[in-house]
Amino acid sequence: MVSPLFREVGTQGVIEAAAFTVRGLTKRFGEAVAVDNVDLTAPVGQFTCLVGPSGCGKTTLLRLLMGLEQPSAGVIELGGVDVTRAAPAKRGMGMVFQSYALFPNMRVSANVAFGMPRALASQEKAKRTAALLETVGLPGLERRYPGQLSGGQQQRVAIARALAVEPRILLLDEPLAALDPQIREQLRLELKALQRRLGVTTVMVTHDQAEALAVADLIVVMRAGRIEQIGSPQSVYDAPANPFVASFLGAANLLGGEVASPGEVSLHGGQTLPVDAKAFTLGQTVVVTVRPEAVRVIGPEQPGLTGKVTGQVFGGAASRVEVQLDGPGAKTLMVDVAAGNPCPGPGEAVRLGLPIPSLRLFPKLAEGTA
Amino acid sequence: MIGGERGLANLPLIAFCLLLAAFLIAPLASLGVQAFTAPAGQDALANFAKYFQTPGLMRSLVNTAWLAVVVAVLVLPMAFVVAFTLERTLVPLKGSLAVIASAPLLIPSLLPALALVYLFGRQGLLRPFLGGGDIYGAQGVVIADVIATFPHALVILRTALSAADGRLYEQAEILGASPWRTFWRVTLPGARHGLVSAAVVVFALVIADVGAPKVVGGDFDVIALDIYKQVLGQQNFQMGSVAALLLLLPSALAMVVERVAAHRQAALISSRSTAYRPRPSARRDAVFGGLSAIIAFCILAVFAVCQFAALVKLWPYDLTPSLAQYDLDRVDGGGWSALTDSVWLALAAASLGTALAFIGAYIAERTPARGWLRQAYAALALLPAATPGLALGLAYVLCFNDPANPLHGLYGGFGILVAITVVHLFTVAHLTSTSALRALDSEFESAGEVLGRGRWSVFLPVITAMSTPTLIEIFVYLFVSAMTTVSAVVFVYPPAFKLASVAVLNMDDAGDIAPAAAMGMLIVYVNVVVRGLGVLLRTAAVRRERLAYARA
Amino acid sequence: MRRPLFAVAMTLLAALGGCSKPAQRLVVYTAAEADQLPAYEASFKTAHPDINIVWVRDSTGVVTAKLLAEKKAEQADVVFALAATSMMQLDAEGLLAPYKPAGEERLDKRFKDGRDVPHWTGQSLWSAAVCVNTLEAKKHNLPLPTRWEDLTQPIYRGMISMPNPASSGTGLLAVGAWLQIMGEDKGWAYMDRLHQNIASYAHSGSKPCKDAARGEIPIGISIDFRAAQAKAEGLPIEIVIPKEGLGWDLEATGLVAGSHQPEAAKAFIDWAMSPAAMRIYAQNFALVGDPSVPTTASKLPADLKDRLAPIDLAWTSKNRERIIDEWSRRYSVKSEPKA
Repeated sequence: MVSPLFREVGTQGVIEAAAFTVRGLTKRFGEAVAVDNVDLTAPVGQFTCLVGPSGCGKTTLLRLLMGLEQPSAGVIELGGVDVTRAAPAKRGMGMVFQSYALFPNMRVSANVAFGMPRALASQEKAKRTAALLETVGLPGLERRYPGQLSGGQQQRVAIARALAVEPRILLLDEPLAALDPQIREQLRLELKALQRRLGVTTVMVTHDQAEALAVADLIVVMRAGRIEQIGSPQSVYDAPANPFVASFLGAANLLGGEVASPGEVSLHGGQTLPVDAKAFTLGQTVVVTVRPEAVRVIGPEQPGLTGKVTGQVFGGAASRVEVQLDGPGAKTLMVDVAAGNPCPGPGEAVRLGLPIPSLRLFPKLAEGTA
Repeated sequence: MIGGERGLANLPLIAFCLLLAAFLIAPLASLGVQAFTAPAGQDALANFAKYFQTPGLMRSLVNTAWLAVVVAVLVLPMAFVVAFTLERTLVPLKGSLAVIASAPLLIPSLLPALALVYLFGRQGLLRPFLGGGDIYGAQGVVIADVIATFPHALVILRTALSAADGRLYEQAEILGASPWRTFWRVTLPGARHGLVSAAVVVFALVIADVGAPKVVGGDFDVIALDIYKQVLGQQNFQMGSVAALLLLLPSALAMVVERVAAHRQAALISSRSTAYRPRPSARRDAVFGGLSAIIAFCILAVFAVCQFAALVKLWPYDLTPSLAQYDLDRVDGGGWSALTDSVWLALAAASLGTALAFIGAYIAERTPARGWLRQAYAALALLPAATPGLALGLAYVLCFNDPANPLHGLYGGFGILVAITVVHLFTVAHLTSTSALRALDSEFESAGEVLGRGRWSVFLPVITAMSTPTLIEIFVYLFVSAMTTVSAVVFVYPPAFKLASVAVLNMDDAGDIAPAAAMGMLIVYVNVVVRGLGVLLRTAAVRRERLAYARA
Repeated sequence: MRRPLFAVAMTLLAALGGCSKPAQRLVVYTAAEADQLPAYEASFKTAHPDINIVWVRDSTGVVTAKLLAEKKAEQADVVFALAATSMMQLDAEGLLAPYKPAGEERLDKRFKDGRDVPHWTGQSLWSAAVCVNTLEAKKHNLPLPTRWEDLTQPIYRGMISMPNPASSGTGLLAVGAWLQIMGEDKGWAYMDRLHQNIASYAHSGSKPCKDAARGEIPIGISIDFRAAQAKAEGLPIEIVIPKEGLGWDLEATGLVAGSHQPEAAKAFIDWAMSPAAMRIYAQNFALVGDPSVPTTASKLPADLKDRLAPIDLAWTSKNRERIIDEWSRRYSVKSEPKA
């Protein structure tokens, strides 16, 4: 796939966006394993998001891809070529740092042109710089210093600078983390649009699951150096591979219990929940996950779980209600009540319906394992 | 290849460690060997046993400790008052106060002592106020050292007080605490690590100073003076080395305490702290402004009296104005050429020292090298501050004139002077570089690498350019310190290369104190000019940088 | 310790030497007065235009310390005009080579080291002297002392300064002389009494006289030529030569063992003992090695050379450490403020 970037920018070279593949990639720092035997393929021209809690190894993985760190084991292939040992500059990748690492004492033009071939005539550099700034939506800001730009503008200058090396893959390390929450949401849409337009294979690291769900074509959920799940945002959200993924991507209720029959789980506290438990053995300890928006407040005549409202947070489109389930040692359940529906107040006894298709069952395993 | 790259990445820092090893560890080792080289048939500690049995020398030990403690106890409140005035009051003329209060940094440590002779000596201007007392002895050394160490304590306490968390003061006000209570419960505890740090720095400076005890000490002997007397008076290198080692231990201990205190002081300020803004208070300003004015007046008096004495024909008998004392070639010490020689040395040491300290700190802070190697370099770079100048000087003599030393060729030349000056002053230059480099975005080098230009591509255009104000600051510090330092070079200076600061010592030694004052003031003027240029250049660099950072 | 009066830019001299055509380069370590060096060099050059002198000049203590420190790799070819007591110290360390200068037999025997082929030879003699500030003496009604013993009178309490033998060769010279003139026990007893009157012990031999000239102290025990010089400058100084006799030391010259230029060095030493050189010394010193050359130093008391005590320099040099230890034990303890 030919990246439209370079048609837009008007360079003579036609560079192909490439896929990359990682096999058995491992990075140890002394005793600690930051990246643990990771296999991953980022498809051509797609926006891949590495997401996970801080310390999960996602940034290290990105730095390994870029060549800023050397892997302890494993192979990195770019467009079918092994680049595991190649110098960063030889990998055909561009990178945007979390801090952007713009050179504060250089004007925007000098920042963007920093990575261009030094043999290039200055006129040509200026032309390309102007085109790149045009591309990222900042035309005419060449004479500014980074300090004179807003956070969002700085981010786009950083992208322009990364694109100036005509990369086949663009790596973004938390590019939105330094920004105010208000503009973050808008900028992630712009980022996504820019990526679409350029068609450059992009890998972004973020700890913000909402951001990942919003921009990614492919989500890679990581924990403790390992990949927990890979898939489209929809599939990962709807069908999390385990309770961790379920609770990390979006809100999820995790209810512990035991399989009482092929159609029922007996929850902690004594209530019984109808589920599809045919794949599990009787008496097996399981975790049931359910999204707050899937839980319904139902009438007293219908079968469901009973509990008492302990808290309520108004949330615009939907209010979140906390319900303490009845029974000794029973859990608290988060329930989203869409605007316009009657919302039970604190102290009120409620009955909750959990539709079977929205429930996912996982065997209960020791904490920390996938 | 991974291992190879790693090894390669370690090389620059290994080179810097070796450099410090050759110019710091090796000389100190020679010093140790000399101290433990006993006459045949005696055990290795014989020199130490002899030292402690000599009543005069033992007394120097007690005197030194007493002096250091007394000076620290006196300097701290004074420096605190001025620091408080500068950082926490709305007194007018703060700028002038800051300049005057830090002026003793620019003068050789002998100058305050000379001023004392002119003020309180037998023919002193203020002699009648002494009521028959005498300036020679412990009291004279205390006063001279108080003046000489004052600005060092001031710098540390200003930093400690300037970094106050304004929220604490707002809280105290809300809770209805009186200003005094706030002072004792918030201000002082907030500056406590700074106070410890300042006390220890003063302690270390005092025990290493040879100038003041020599000029106004009378018979008040201290260890530094013992080293001087043993080496130059009696040519007894063993005893000199023993005394130097005795000085090294408390000095090294002081250094460790200072570093811990400095780190703790820095940790008190969190990123959520808000700046403290003093409120108007006429009483507070009157008290602190008044006290500070007195201190500033005393400092000015030192300069004024030295300048006056250097401009009269024959103190105290003929006070007609005369430039006779500036005929420096008339007296021992090296004459005017000593001043130009000193300027050359200061330029060379400041250039080389700034470059080495900055590049060394850069490699240690911002290039991939092994952790233990960085720690080794950090420790080596701190060691000079723990080494009194006289000890270092004696160590250099012992080490470099040994023909077995491959660097023997440096001995007796300009090179060894530059080397010892740079090493003697290295720690401050290193620490200043380090904190400046840490303040820069840690990804600049990665960005250079990712952009295909390599890690070092950003060193000059970005890292160095961004650090220009710091580099100017370090250069000026090294220059003025090289102009004033006596202790490090007094054993090392080659006869063909006299130095102005040593000349002041030698002129006083020979009794030519008016030319000594004249030479001392010449050093001051050179330093004032260089410092002034430094301030101008730094301001310009900061303005440029601020422009770059300014938000549109 | 002796301090020179006038300093000369040594770099300039070295540069001048370096400018001329290829010649031998002779490194001379000296404690001679800096302002006297040009005259010495000019005199030597007339005899040996092919030899360039590189002077390395500093105070006695520094030059001695430097030579001892450089023991393993001597840089010097000749030691010129260094105190004889220092020469003995260097000799004891084996730093000096035997050489008998031409015309050595003409010299006063006090100027010789006593060996057939001497390791060092003295050229001129300097002594202790007492500087009294006439204005201060009048102000405090002090009589002019004439004897060492006078200085112990209570009227001089706190009025006297002398060099500390631990840091100054002049101090050692004075103390050594008292011990030899009076005998050890009486010598120490004398110093015990003198100590009562001492205001401060200086770290150099010149300082007490310079301090006396400034009125910082009324009376300073110092060096003869420093006293003469102060007087020549018109300072209010009277030079007192105590009747009991004066301690003295020599300016001496010797060949450095392992000299790189032994022939040139010997030529220099021959010159240093020549009548031409002696006449230059005589302009500044009360007594020079060649008895036939009279002093021309006008400000020194004429009878100074007759007041020299019959002392043994070698004794002082040998007992140096013991004397300093004993002195420090007795007197450096007083340093607590006297007030």
